[in-house]
Amino acid sequence: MNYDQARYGDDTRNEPLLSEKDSTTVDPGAGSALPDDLTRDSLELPGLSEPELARHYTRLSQMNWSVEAGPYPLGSCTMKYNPSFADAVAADPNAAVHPDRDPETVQGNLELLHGLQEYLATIGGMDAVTLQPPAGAAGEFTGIAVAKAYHEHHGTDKSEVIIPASAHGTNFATAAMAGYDVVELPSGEDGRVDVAALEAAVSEDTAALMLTNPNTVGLFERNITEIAEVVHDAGGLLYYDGANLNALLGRARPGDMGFDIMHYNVHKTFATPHGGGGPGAGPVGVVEELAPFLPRPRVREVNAASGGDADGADASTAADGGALAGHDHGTADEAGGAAYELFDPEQSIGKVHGFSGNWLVLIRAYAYIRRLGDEGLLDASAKATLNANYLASLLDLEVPYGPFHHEFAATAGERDAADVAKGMLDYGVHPPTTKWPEMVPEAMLTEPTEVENKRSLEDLANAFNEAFADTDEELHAAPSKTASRRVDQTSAARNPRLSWHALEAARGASENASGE
Amino acid sequence: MSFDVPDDLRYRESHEWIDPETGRVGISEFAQDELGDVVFVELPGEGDAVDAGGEFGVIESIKAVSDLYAPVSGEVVAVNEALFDAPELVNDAPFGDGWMLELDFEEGDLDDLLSADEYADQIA
Repeated sequence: MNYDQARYGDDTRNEPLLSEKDSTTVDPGAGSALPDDLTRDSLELPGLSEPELARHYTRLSQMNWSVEAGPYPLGSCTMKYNPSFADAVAADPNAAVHPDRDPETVQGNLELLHGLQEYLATIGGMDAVTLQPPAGAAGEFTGIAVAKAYHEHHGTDKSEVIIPASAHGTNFATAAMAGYDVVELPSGEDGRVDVAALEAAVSEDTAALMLTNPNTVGLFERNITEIAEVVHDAGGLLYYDGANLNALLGRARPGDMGFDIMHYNVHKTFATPHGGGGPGAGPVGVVEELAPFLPRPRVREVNAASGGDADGADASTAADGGALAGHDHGTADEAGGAAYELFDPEQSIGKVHGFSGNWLVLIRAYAYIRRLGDEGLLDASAKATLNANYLASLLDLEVPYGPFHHEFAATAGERDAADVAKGMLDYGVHPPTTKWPEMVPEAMLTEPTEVENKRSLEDLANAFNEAFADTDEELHAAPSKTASRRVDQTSAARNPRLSWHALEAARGASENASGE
Repeated sequence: MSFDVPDDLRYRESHEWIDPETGRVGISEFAQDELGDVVFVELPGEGDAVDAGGEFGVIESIKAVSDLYAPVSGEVVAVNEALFDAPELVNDAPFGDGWMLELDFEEGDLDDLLSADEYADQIA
C-alpha cells in the first residue's frame, strides 16, 4: 500500500498555531461596566476567518492517526471503531437533560440507565451495577473501595491485594491508592496464574485478587474456578479487570467464574470514545453481598423497592424512607406512578462522581448494546478472537504464548520492538503496544479488534513483516512518511513542554542563545 | 561490549554499587546501558533510613521503570540532587557525577556484596 501522510508547514515546524497565523489586538474600548481592576486594556486573540479556522483543524486531523484512518491494533487498549449511530443518539437534544431534574420528569433517562445497569449485570454475571465511575481506572478504584468497605463492615482487617506481574499498571495504582499493600504474583511458565504461587501468596490479610481474564497476553485463565476457591477460602474477594471482556462477550461471564467485583471498560467493549482524560465511564458490577456498598445514587424500578432484588437497600427500610434519607426524590406514591427512581444503597461508599455518571458516554454504550443485540455481541467476541488469530498466523514474528483470544504478544526477538513499531508507521497502520507485558521479550502486543476485515488484517500483517525485515538503519530512519517524524522521546521526557507558554519560553531561550 | 567495573567498588546483583570509602551508591555502567536514556530519578531524603536489599528509590528511562535497591543498610547522609534536573548524569557518568546517595553504614554489611570480579562475571 502506498502511504504518505499529509504534512503542512516546513521541515522544522508543523502547521502553525492559530496565534501564529494571525493575532489581533482587541481593545474593548471605554464604557465597560466592570471595575477597572477587573478589566484589561487590550487582549491578543487569534483573528481568523471561519475557512482559515476550518482548514487549520482539518489539517491537524489529517496529520493525526485514528481508527477512522486505518488499522489501530494497540494491544490491551481495544481501539474499536465508534459507530456513528451511537454518536447520533448521544447528540439527540432530547437526551440533554439536566442531571438534577426531578426524576419524575426524566423517566425515559432513568429507564435507559436502569436498562444499561441490567444489561451490564447480565453480561458480567453480576447482581448489581453502578454507572457512576467516570473512567475504567475510576471503576477499579471504586471496586476496590467497595471491597474495602465490605471487609470493614464485617470487621475483618485486611491489608493486601494480590496482583499478577503481567497485570495493567492501573491495578497496582488502584490497590495502593485504596491503602493496600501490593503482593505481586509471578506468572507461571505457561503465562497464566501459577496456582501454587497463589496459594503461597494468600493469607488472612488478603483483601482481594485483581485479575484480568483473558490475561494481558490473551490467555484464558483455565484454572479460574480453582483460583477463585483459593482466594475465597482465605476470606478474600475476586476482582475482575474488564479490560479484556471483549474476548468473552456473550460467551463466558466473570460472575460465573467466581468473580465478586468487576469493572467494565465501556470504551473498549462497548465502543464509546476513549476518554483520554475526558468524560468516560467505568461501570462496576458486584455480587449481591457487595451491592449495599456501591456508590450512590443508583437507579431501580419503583416496585423493586418492595421486591427481593439485589439493589442493596433493605425493602422495609426503603419503604419507610430510611434508605432514601437525604434524597429529594419521591417514593412511588409521591411520584404519581413513576416507574424508576434513584436510591442510595444502604452502606454506600458515597459518591465517586457527580449524579449518575457521564450520561453522554453511557447512552452510547446502551445504544451499542441495543443495536448489536445478543447475536451482534456474540459476533463481536467471535470476530475479535478470529481476527487476532488470523493476523498472528500471517506474521513472521514468533508468538510465544497461546492459545490466545482477542490479542497476542508477538516478540520482535533480537530486534528492538519500538524500532519495528516505528517502521510499521510508514505502511499506513498504527503499530501495536510495544515492550509490554514484560513477560514477553521485545513484546508487540497486538489487538486488531473485530472491526478489521480480512483485507485490512492482511495489510496489517504486511506492515509487520516488511518492517520486521527492514535493516536496523532503515528502522532507525523511520518513520519517513508520517506528518511527525522520529520523535525525540528522551528530550520529551526530560524537558516536557506541556503548555503554549512553555513552548514560547523555550523558543525565546533558543533565539537568545543564537544571538538573534 | 564490555563495561567498566571499577575495582574499588562493591556491587549488588541488581546492579547497584557502593564505594566502601565514601558510602556513595549508584548504578553500574551496565545497568544504565540496559535502561537506556534515563529521564527521572526518585531518591529518599537526607536522614532517611534504608535497608539492605530494600527499595530506596525509582529510576525511569524511556524503556522502563525500575526500583533501586540499597546495597547495605544505613542512613542517607547526602542525596545527589543534581539528578533531579539532569537525570542524564546517570547515563553519562554512572560511577561519577551520576551517583545517587551517600550512606552512613556498618562496614561488616559489605561482606554480602559482590566484588568487582564477581560482578564482572555476572554481566559477562
